[in-house]
Amino acid sequence: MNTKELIEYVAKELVEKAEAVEVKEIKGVKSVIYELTCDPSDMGRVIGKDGRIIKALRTLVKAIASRRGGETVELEVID
Amino acid sequence: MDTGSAGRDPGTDEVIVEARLTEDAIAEGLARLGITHAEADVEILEEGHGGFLGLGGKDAKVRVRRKPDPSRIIRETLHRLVHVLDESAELVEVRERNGRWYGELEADELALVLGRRGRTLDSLQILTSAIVSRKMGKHIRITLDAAGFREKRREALTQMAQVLAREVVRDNVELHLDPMSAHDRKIIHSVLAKNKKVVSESEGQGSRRHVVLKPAEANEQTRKRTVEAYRDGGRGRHPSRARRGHRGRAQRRHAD
Repeated sequence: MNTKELIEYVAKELVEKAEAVEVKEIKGVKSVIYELTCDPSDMGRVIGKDGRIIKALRTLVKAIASRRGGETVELEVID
Repeated sequence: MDTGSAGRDPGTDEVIVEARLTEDAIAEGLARLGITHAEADVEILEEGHGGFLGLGGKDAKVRVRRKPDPSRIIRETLHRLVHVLDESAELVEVRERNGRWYGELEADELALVLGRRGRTLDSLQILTSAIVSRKMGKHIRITLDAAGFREKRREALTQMAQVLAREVVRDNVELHLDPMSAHDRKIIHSVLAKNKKVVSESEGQGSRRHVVLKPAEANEQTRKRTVEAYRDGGRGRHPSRARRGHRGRAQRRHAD
């Protein structure tokens, strides 16, 4: 599993419509952006109350990146 | 929950098996899932008929389903979550007490898995709870710990609360701490519950919610002051650092 698959895994476990979950990995020179898309009805499940879930996932993704020599990562939820 | 999972790989939670005899079908299903009868829900879909001399019989059909076991689901979920970060990390102990689950983590790169002030550990805890709750169909509360981190954090927060409480009284100030988790705020409130000179409250909403310490007898001269809640130099970040930080403080106090 890599970071992209990890984001997919978490999102698919939490949503109703797993088939609508998609993660795009956009690589820059020293940065990576992950764009997470899901069904609009599942948005709240992925973000969580007060952003709890998405913040936790971001923290985890950043910890993984820090281990790999500090490239900057962003995780965005696209609606 | 997903039910149409018959015929998947052996890692699945459910199989449908046909065999001449019902007992054989059940045994085959249990074997395929690698579980005992006690760990399974068995549903007989069709009874078999023996026929005569092997002719005209009808096979039995059973559905064997793995009973959801929170402990196993917690282990599996955490493994998947932490694997990319540190593949050595795993739960060495999972137990339930008073309706709450505790998981003890071990990892080669402990500092990485804990994160600054335990933020990564907290994140793993939030995600594990969310996923496991969804799988079990009810809210499951999980606390993750590693190398006694939670206890050390409690000690660090307790000490910090006492130092700050003295500051509130001495300087007649209202201290606004950094936002903290509900768990950490609760530790501070409980430490100061018996302190009659200081009132400990939470203010702000959501992720901005923070502890405010006020003099019990606040007056017009009481000023507001914001403090970095963790100005203890990172104690509580990581056990090895925690000890170093503690010694440093003790030495300084002696020098005074």
